Amino acid sequence: MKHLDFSEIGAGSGNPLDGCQRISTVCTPNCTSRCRLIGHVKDGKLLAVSPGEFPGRPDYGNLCLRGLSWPQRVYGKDRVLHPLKRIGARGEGKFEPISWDEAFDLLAQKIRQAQETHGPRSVAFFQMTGNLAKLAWDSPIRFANCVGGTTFSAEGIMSDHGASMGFQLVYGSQRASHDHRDYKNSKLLILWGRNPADTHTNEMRYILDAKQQGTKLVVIDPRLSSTAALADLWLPIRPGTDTALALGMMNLIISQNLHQPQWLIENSCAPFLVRLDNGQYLRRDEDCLVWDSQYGQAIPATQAAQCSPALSGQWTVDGIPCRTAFDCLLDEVREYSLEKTAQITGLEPQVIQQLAVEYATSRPSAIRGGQGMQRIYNSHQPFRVIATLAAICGYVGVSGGGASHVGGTNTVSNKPLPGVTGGLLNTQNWADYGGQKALEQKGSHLYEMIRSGQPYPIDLLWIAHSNFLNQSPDANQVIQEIFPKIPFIVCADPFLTWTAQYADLVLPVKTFWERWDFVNKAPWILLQQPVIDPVGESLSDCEIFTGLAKRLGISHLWDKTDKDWVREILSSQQLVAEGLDWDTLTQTGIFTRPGADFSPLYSFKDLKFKTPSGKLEFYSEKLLPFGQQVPTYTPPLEDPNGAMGKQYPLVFLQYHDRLFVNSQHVHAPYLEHIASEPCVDMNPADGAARGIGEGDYVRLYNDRGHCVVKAHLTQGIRPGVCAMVQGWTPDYFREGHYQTLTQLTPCPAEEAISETNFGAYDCLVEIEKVEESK
Amino acid sequence: MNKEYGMVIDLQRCIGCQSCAVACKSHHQLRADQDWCKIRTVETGTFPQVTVEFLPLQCNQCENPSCLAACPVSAIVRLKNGVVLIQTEKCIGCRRCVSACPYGAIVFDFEKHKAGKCDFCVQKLEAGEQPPCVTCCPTSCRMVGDLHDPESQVSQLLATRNYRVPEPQYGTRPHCFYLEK
Repeated sequence: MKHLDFSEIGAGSGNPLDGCQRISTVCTPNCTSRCRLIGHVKDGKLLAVSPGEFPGRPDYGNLCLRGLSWPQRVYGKDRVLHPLKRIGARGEGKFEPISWDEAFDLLAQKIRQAQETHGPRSVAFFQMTGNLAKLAWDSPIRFANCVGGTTFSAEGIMSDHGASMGFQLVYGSQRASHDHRDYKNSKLLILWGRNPADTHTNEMRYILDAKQQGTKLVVIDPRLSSTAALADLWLPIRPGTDTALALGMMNLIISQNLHQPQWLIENSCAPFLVRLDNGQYLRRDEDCLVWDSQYGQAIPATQAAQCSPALSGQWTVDGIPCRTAFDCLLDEVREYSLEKTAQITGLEPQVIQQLAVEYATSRPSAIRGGQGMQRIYNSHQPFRVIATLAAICGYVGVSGGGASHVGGTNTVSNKPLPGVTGGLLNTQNWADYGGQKALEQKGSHLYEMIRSGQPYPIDLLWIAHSNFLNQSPDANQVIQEIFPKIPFIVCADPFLTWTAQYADLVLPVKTFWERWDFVNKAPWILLQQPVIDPVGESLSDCEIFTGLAKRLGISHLWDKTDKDWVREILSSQQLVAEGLDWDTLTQTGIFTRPGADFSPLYSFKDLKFKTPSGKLEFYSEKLLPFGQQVPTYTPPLEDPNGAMGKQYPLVFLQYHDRLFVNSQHVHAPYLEHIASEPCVDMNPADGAARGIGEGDYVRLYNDRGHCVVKAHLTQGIRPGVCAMVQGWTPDYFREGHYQTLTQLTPCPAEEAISETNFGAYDCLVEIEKVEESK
Repeated sequence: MNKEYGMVIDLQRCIGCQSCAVACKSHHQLRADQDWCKIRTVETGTFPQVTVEFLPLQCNQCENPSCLAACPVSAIVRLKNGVVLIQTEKCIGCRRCVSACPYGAIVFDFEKHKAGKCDFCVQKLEAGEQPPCVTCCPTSCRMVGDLHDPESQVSQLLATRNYRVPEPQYGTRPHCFYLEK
């Protein structure tokens, strides 16, 4: 055998990236990771991407397969190259290219017409999360403000609002975070409806670090996700029953006396007195009361530290019979015997028992909630209940504990500085809307608002950063009933999406590789600068509104280039940008705040909550009308064991996978090679019952819609559940689309808290084999 | 002693994300179907006792490479540093190496009519850098290092962890090592 030295041979597989310029930017689709990327550019072309480092955190640089595929995405065949005016029917995909001048004239005319007909509010801007860089994300809302139009809240219709509502109820804040590095302080870590191995690769390394140091990893998911595949224990729960599992766990924990009464007395609403007659807290003046068991009297909760509040009991105070909030919780919890919990969740009783005991006794244990469990009707309950479960074990505000939702870097609330919420960047001019203000409507009310024309009609809908049709509930309803009611639809997008096909005017938007922008990811500021020239005639969102502002006589509010806006906004000498030097930033692409604290942080260390009482509140007076004053399990709206289940017995999940962030990253050949078309995951038992084999084409259907895809039979999914990667666009389907299956049903309890959350996983279907025509 | 490169992959850390596969293609400007590096997902068991293993696959830089033996024109060489290299200019496109490799690690490029495969990015290694499949791995599950240096990270891991090599029955003596529990 020859044994040559490398120097004698030379090339090998070669390095086509030799001689590339390396330019730093930051990835801004909504996976929330905001990874720093290094673009390799040669002859003005983006060839490849590498992970960029974060000064101060050598462990933190990251890149995923989606980020790696950007060069194919940027130059993809589906890029919109020119402003496109519709010439065919909506949805037909027939457009003619027009100049920007023509596009601006048309837009100005349509906006003026709408303003004159139904007033400024009839000009509406719907934006999602396709690009979360500062100027990109702000621009549509800023423009809406400048013209006094309408905007829509995003979180409800995107199916992520349940988490915020649940935590808001209990913690008084929508987010609760534990730095990823804090997992190694957990004896047990429960990833509940969360699959970071696919969705947040930058979190997974810390989970694996913890596991390799001895943290037991539990994943609760109807599917054996990539994360579940790496876990010590997988609990294949029946979809939508997570709240019942947590209540059952609490019952086991409390009945075995494994809870933390003193923690609950000191830090939660548990000892607060609740009136038996109306369920309200018993108050004197404004103060909630507790029962001092030492002196046998009710005293204000604010003075509880000086006495011995009772956790349980019933008394009559000022002639009013009352009991503790903890006893009210117990009433609900005691409904969930081990047998009943097992029956609802479909899990083995001994597995539930083991999890409950290990969670309470492996101190501390952590729960990391994922959006997967809150994409249901009554979506506020799962996050509300996990926070309550953590509280009864005294894990809230504890390193290695918590029931958290975000991790990120070292900041507690994704804010520049813990506890500081704004005013840190120089946004005075950027926030000047010329005295106008948009009216925000609830995104989950958009369909009804447009259908009814109430409280006012929408004459022009501008859709930005969103493949609305692909990702919003009940696509057939949108196509047949909602879009036809909107006289003029604008879609601003880098790509000719399904939604763009229904627009009257499509505007070509730069990707973040082609524009100036930035992300404030304290203690870093990450710059986006044009790594490559714009593709086609693309403009940034901000540049589009700047052009339009000239036609509408508000150019004084849109008077800067993107670069100058970024430079002005970053010219703050406040802490977040103190010492930032523009020239250095353009060289390195990243600014690190001097004296930044890189230590891992977590929420509620001070055990102060932004609830009305300042304590952790699992008891909510607001939800009394719904019988949900304590965390309560309700079956799914579309319950496989209910009436609809007889016709449509399978729960349909559209899960977030490694390939896409929502519908972004479709059409990249490297990713298409990993999965070339959508398929539906089914348990072989469900396949066999329907005569379906691996790779057969099948029809998923219900009364709302259908799609035809390949079946993939896997033991890694609970029988009775079928699942498909979400994000696939209609061109990949033989027929139909998965989003025609889903529903949007107003939920009274959620409306009382905030707004309805799209129950994307609260969806029943049936599946049948499609016979191949010969 | 000369260097002898080996790749160590911690199966306890591979999340099956395919970033290595995409990084390899992108950084070598390969087409989508040129799988020099890929991950196979292996599901075993019956619900609910199911396991899934993610198995990263690429050329194992075997000590006894069957591709080398099969090449009729000696286009494949094993370097002193342990890397098995296809000398593209000598390759006649006969595809015997493709059939001979028991791991399916050699990818035939029908456009250029040449065989191609992973060579641990030997150019980068010699320049003191790691391959993109290593630098782009989100969980740092893999690394290439000198098996002859007892202080190297790969040697340390092999000394302290359980490991296996892919399909040892072929007698190829692979230089990729899978760390197990």
